[in-house]
Amino acid sequence: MKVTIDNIEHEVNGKPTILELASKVGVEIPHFCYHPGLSISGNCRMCLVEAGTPKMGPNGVELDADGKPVIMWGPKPTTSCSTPVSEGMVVKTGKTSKVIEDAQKGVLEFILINHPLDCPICDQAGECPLQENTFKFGPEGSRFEFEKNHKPKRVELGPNVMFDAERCINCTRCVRFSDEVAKAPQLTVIQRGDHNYIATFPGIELDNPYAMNVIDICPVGALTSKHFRFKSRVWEMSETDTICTGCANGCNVKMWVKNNEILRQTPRENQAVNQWWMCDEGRLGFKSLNENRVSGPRFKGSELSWEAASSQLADSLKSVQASELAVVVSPFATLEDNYASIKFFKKLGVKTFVRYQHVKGQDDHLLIKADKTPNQAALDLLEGIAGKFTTGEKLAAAIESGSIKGLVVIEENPFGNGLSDSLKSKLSILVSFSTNWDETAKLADLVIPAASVAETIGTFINAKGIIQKVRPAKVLKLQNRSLMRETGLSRWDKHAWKYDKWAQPTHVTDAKPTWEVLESAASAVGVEVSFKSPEQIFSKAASEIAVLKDVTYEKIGTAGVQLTSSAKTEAVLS
Amino acid sequence: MISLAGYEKVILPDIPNLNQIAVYEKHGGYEGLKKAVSLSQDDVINEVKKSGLRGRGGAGFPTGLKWSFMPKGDKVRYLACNGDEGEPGTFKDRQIFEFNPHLFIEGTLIACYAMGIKTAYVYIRGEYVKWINILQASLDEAYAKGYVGQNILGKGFNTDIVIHRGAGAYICGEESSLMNSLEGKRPYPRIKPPFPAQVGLWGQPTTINNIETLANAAVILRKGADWYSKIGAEKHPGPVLYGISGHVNKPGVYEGPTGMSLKELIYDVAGGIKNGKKLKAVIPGGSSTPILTPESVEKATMDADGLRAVGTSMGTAGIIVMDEDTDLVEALHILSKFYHHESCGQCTPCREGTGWLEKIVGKFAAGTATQQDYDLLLKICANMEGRTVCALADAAAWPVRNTITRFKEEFEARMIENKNKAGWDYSMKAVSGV
Repeated sequence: MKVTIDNIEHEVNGKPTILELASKVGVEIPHFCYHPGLSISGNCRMCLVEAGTPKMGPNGVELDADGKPVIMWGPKPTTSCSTPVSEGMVVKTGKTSKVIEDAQKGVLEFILINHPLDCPICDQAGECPLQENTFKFGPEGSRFEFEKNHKPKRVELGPNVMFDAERCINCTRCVRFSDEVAKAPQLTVIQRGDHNYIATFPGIELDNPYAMNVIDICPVGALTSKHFRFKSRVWEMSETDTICTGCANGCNVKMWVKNNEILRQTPRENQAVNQWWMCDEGRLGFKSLNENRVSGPRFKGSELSWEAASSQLADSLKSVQASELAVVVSPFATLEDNYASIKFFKKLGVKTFVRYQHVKGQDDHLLIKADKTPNQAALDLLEGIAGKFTTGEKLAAAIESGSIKGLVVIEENPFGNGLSDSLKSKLSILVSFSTNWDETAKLADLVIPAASVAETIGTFINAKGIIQKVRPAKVLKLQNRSLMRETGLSRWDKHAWKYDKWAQPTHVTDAKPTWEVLESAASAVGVEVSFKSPEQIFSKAASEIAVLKDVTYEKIGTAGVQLTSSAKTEAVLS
Repeated sequence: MISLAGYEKVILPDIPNLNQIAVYEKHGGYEGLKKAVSLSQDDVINEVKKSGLRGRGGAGFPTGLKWSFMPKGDKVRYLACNGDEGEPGTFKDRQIFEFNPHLFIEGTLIACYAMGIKTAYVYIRGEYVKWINILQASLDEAYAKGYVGQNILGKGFNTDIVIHRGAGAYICGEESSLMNSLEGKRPYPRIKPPFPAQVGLWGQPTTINNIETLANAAVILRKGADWYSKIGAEKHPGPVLYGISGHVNKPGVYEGPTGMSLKELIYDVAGGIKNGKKLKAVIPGGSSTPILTPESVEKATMDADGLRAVGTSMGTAGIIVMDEDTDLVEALHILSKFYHHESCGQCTPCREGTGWLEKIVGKFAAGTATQQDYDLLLKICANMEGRTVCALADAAAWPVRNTITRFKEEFEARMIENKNKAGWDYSMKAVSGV
């Protein structure tokens, strides 16, 4: 099928709407109410185009004197979001049609007559479709000279979402999202005409687990996050494409950082994983990446230099027999950290590797998984290298019986997950590689601060078997060049000077990726390993694990790679 | 010249107690239904097509053609009878409910038979409590007599008729809003296509007809399409209920043939202008139709072609007559206020435009408007017309556009001199600085 947009002919497959086709071929048609993940509403009238179809005569398509089809133009502009293309259709957008150009100006003028134009104090400014479309397509001023309508401001729709009815342009994206995607019909439009605005039904709050997506899809600053309001201008943050590690779904996100502090997370489109959405719990999960961080190594409460920490680690490991040492690996850590740990301790002669499960509730209809860990599937793969993992219960029994005397914890929290504090006295050493001050870190003799998912590079395999990469949104105190390569930080954030806020200790964590610490202690312990960068570790792992054979960091990119088959059955040792 | 002389009333005949089923039956009641069920479904639709009946709800779409759009087959389908009657100046369906409800019920049953519909919804505006009660009583009688319900007239044809009260929004008279309202949703008009005949009530094929249209269908089956098509104007035939209001001596609903001259309706049928005053303006078909000057009224005949010739349309045949003392600026202000109040707010141009129009017309009413306000009104109308899902934006813009152009001097008389000599366009920032 051939369709012409703005005098350029396009070959079309399937039956897209004019707007879908235009966005595919790179013709910009401005719109507000259309969202690819929602039903078509057609209310904003911003995506109007002129569309015509070839005139059919008794002998098929009628041709004009030049042998070109005669086009029957529609009687009035049509919404491109709701009109499917058809054979031979000719479309004019605002670029080639004065009528459409004027219609777009008219619609924007209409939208703005009752819009507060408080962009300077609006959180949406800088990423606001209304602002952008007005600059691109709007009139240069307004002819409206009356008082604007007043509507409720600062309405708490729910625990996380704040609403400003004056900014609302009634596109109903949020209403449709609640109904169709979240399956929680909590929102509706009330009143009529230009007094219209969004409200929750009486006695109901906007508190579904996906409620905060309405903030992202709101094309203006009417719906804002209570956690992010007035924290930062959009353009002052740097954004990093990474993934959420709140559960086994691995939703794609952007982390927004200012002064080396994560201020918000927003979903990033990935049709195979999370479409356009993410859950509120995951979205707000970044707080543990900012706060309560372990910063700087400690031994029995006192701070150590990194050199001293390495030799202390070696001494501790040598103080117990390898057969009496257990290592707790982590479904929260990257595949690279787990692989490096398993390789390191395998070479040391450790036989006992422990894995914990973290299952809570049930999978829901959309994204939320009962498995609250992001990387169990990677541990499934690594089981082939580590040998069968021991459970937490068996570990407790082994410590109780005295067969395990030393415990190394890699980014896990056994003492917060069923291991009794009293067992600590039975351990002659407890080493913890910790990101946060959790129960285990507080009990440990040697605490090594570990880089969190917001500061490192590494891979995670989600419940569907899609391998994805986290990228560093924040920087560590001691910068590692292999991590800097992929950081999404702006130059401004990367190279702050001493008076910048983020250079102060509260904004920067003194931690290292676990693999880097293990490699620094290797020679002192007498183990031969070479861990140079996440990519190098990954390629080593890939050479040992069959399903990862053809996977590279480059292929994983920002969208991830679907592993060919069930990870467990294909795990083969070289 | 089509005139009331010799016309025999069929929609609202002068028969007392016609709302009682016994009286109705005595005067040929339900004969049309009996005739219909003796024909095939297609023959009934063809009979209606042949009659030339055009919808009486405002748009004037050929009824038989609309019925033929319904897909064949077993798919569940619905009829929605539009008795919302919210258009200012329109009060004809109410008379049918009060004086000849069985004619409407009969027409509904014929439509249901012709299109294989098992459920018809009558959507009546909520304020019509009295008429809802009358219709319900008549419907109960018809059920008791076996005209409605199961196995109607022993022909194995089943149809239920359900009365639904509206909640008082003008927009619910728009057919797709009416369907959303019936479904219990917010009555936002739906995007077309898909048309109701494909995807209507609850996603099923649906036909929406005006009350008066359905009453006409009953007359067509009773008297025959040939008889019907000879009444009134050739291309827009049939009896029609003229609702005449405003500054006339005898306002009311009058039945007559289509194509009558507007002058006859005002001066003879409705008894002329009150107190012998002169005519200033007439709105011929409900408030959305363009207003006519006295010169146009002289020429106008009440049918689609006759009114198109003078730049207006038939609408609902709700004729609003205004005498020489009428302040047209204030009249337009009231109309603009109405459309502003009744815009559902779905589409941007209508939601924002109706309010803006009202505010500027208000400036004329207050005597503070300038030439630029006059020009701006026309520009706003141009930005609203044809840019929305339903026709409410057009209905709001047309009265403004036509009143200010056809009665320009009235508006010019209210203008003050513009202090902003430089002119005023997009390149100028708004004077108030907003």
